[in-house]
Order: sequence, then C-alpha cells, then structure tokens
Amino acid sequence: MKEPRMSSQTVRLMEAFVSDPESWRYGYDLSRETGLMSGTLYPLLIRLTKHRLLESQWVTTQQGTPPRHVYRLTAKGVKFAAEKLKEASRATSRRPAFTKGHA
Amino acid sequence: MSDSLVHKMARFLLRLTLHISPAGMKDWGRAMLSELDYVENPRAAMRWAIGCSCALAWASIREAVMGRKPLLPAALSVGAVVLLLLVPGFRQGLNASITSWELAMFSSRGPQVKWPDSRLRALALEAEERKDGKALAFVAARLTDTKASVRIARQAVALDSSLTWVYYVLALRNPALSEMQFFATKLREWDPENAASYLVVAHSLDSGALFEQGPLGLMRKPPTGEWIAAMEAATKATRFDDYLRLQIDSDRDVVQRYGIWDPLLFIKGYKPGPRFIGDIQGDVRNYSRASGTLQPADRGLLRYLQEHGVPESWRRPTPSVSFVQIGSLLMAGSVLLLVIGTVWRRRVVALGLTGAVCLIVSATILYAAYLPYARSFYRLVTEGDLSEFESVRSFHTYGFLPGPGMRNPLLMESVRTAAIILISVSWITHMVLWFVARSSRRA
Repeated sequence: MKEPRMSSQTVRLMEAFVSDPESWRYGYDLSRETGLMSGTLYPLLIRLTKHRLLESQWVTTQQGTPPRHVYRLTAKGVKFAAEKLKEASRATSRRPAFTKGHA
Repeated sequence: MSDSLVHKMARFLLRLTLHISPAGMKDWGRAMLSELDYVENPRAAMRWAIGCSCALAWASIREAVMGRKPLLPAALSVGAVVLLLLVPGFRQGLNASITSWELAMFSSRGPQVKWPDSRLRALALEAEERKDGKALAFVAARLTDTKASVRIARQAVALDSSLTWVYYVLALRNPALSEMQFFATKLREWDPENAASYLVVAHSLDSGALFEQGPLGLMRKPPTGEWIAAMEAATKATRFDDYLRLQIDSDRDVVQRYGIWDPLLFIKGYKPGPRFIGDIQGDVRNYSRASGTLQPADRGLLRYLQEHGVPESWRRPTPSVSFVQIGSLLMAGSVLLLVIGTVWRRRVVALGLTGAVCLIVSATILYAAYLPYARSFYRLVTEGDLSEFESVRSFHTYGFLPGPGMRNPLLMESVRTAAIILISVSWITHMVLWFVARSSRRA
C-alpha cells in the first residue's frame, strides 16, 4: 500500500500523536489539540488506521457511559511520523525568504 | 452529557447518517457518535455532527462507487421503471412516445401504415361472438383495411341501426369508397334532415377530382354538376350533426367494457377536427363561387360553420410533447449505457451510473409530461367531457412528430438533444468519479 500523503493537516495530527506516542487519545481531544474539524480529522484517522500507522480500541471510561474510541501510533506509525516530520521541518526551513510571512 | 435541543438534533443527524452508511463505516460512525457526548458547547456539538456526517457520507459514496460495477444503481433504476410501468398513465405515455418514433422511422407512407390492426381484428372477432354492435363500430372506424372495415361497419349497423353514423365516419375517412352511394343513402334514410349524408358525397367527389394536370402544373378543376347538387342539398338541409357526440359515447362504452385504455387507438377513430371544419369551409366557399347562391346562414351546415368559427391552424407542439418524445429516446439510450456499464468492464462505471440516473430521470420526465393527457383521456372516457376530447386529440394528432422519415427536422433535433444530454451526464459522472478516485489515491 502506498504511503499516505503528508498534507498540512496530517502533519498537525502526527505532531499531536508524536508529542506523547505512548498514550491513547480521544477523537474530540485530538480535534481540540490540532484545531482540525471532525470532518477533516476522522478521514485522516481512517486513512492512517488503514495504513496501520495508527491502532485503535474501544475503552469504557465511566460506568453507564458509552465506550469511547481511542487511538495511538503503532511502532510503524512512530517511525513513519518521525521521518515525515523531519522531512516536513526540513522543507519548512528551506522555504525561500520572499515567501509570505518571511518577507 | 448534555441534553439540550441542539445536542439532541446533532445526535439525531449523526445517528441518521450512521444508519445509512455502509457496514465498513459503522464502527467509525459509532466512534464519532460516542465523542459527541463529550462536546459540551451546543454549537460545537452541531459542528461536530455535521463534520462527521459529511465524512461518513463521503466515505459511503466512495465505497459505493469505487472499483465496482454499478449493479445496485442499475437494479434500483430498472426496478423504478418496472414500478412505473404498472402505472397506466406511464404506459400510455411510453406507448405514445414509441409509436411516434415508429411512425417517424419505419413508416414511409404516413401514420396509416403502422397501426395495430391485429389488435383491432381480435376485438372484432370477440365483438362478433358477443354480437356487440358498438364494439364492431369501434373497430370499423379504426381499421386500416378499408374492405374489412366496411364489412364490419355493415355488421355493426345490422346489429344496431342506431350505429348508422359509422357510415359517415367511414365515408369521411375513405372518400374513394365504392360503397359511398350506399352509405349516403343509408345515412339519409336514418337521419334525413342532416346535411352529413350530402356532405360525404360532395367530399368524395371533391377529393377525387379537385385538381387536374395543366400546362403550368396542377390546376383547380371546375366543379361538376354532381358536386354542386350534393353541396346544394347539404346547404339546404335543416341541421348538421357530425355525429361526434354519438361516436364518443359509443366508443367510451367500448373502452370501458373491453378495457382498451389506449388513447392513440381511441383518437385514431376521429378525423382531426380543425382540419375537417377547414375542409367543409373550403367546400362551401367553392360551392358559393361555382353556383353564385348560398342558403341563409341560419340553415344547418352554415350555422354549424358559424358556430365553430375559423379553423385553428396546426398547433405547434407544446414542450410537454417534446418531453414525451425525447423521454423514450433517452430511456433507450440510458438502457444501452446501463448494459455497457454493468455487463462490460469496471472502467466504464461512469456509463453505467449515467444510464441508471438518466433512466430514472427520463422515465419520470416522460410520465410527468404525459400525465395531464393521461388524466384528460381518463376523464373523457369516464365522464364524456368533449373539452377533454380536444385536449387528447390535439396531443395525439397535432403534437405528434409531423410526418415520417429520417430527414424530419424535429426527429433529428430530438435525437441530437437526447445525445447531448446523455453525453453531458456521462462526462459529468466521469469527472465526479475521477475526482473520487483521485482523492482515494491521495490517501
């Protein structure tokens, strides 16, 4: 399977996961942390899960409340995220001086 | 977990989308729904639900169309058309549309050639067995085979003399009949005060000998004494009845008893009204020119012409007629695309989807465009309202493709329109699928 495309939204999501790769994250928390809307966030989560970069599970948080879906990076995901974030930061640092925001 | 109205609406929206999403997306949908309970702000909850619904819907569309033959849309569209076929109005509209194409494409001599005589013959056999004069008159007024129609008309009148008007209908339809004098005599005996029996004789003499080949082409012949005598008798008659009311009432009875709910077959038994009035007006004008005399205008035939006024010109086809005619053509094209798209390879999935969409749309348009005429026909048969008769007649005579032949401009325009619609929709569908495929590849 081809690698997923690293859009700016994917980078933001990956950064959120990489900040604490061991912990399981809720969808709504990820949305607040990355500023991604649900309509953007979930397609990304679905894609990354399909590429086995993310793993997910259902957890029960409180008695009497429905279980929640949680996500975290797989080992492959951690490696992929590290590589891609490094590439992304290199690309950002190589941006020409006359582009918007650097003038 | 908040229970505000907005939260409830957001939950309802997301549950609804989850309900219609494919099995592969259900788990994700439930994940989105469970997170909604933790969004405290009502506006944020609604935004969350809308965003998730869009994501689910988009994923559902992608899963439904990518890499699959469009079997489900094809089955749905064919099923919808089969259901529509159960509706009499749709069947009538489709029949009218297909018949107009048959006439245009396969008939070289005009509408008389391609009419369902076999169906009429079967009805005649049944009517003979039942000794049903009205049904025999119905057949006689419509059969293309003149000899058979004369024989059946005589049978009908022998069974029921009140059906003698059928001779008038036959005489008008076939001016060259050898039985013309017999018909005229019988009509005169049955209805002596009516100008109709004289008029059919004049009409038969007129139509056969009006023009002759002259040195500069066709020349109008001077009227014969026989024609002048017939017209004189017609204009002297105290009344004129074209037997339309009698014929319609008899035909309505036959349609209801035998279940022949076919407006095309029904209308075939009637001479187009405005053209007929125009013919009589022409005859009267020629008579006054030839004889120099005319009866007072309060007499039967002249009063009839005064009351019916100037004949209408041939009506331009209304947009609904065009929709009915293009409808069946589009349906045929859609079925072709549907077959290619579902039977052939996955690469032509756009054609299959186009076929499915266009099949439903064209069938619906055809039905909607024909519906007013189907209703008019139903009211005409059940209630006998003559104003409904004009509506049905004008659609099935003036509205039809005028004249046969592949060079017919209206026919070519219809074919071109149908082709443009199908190609455009195919292209749009192809572009949508390309966009979906591209977004999938990016993933």
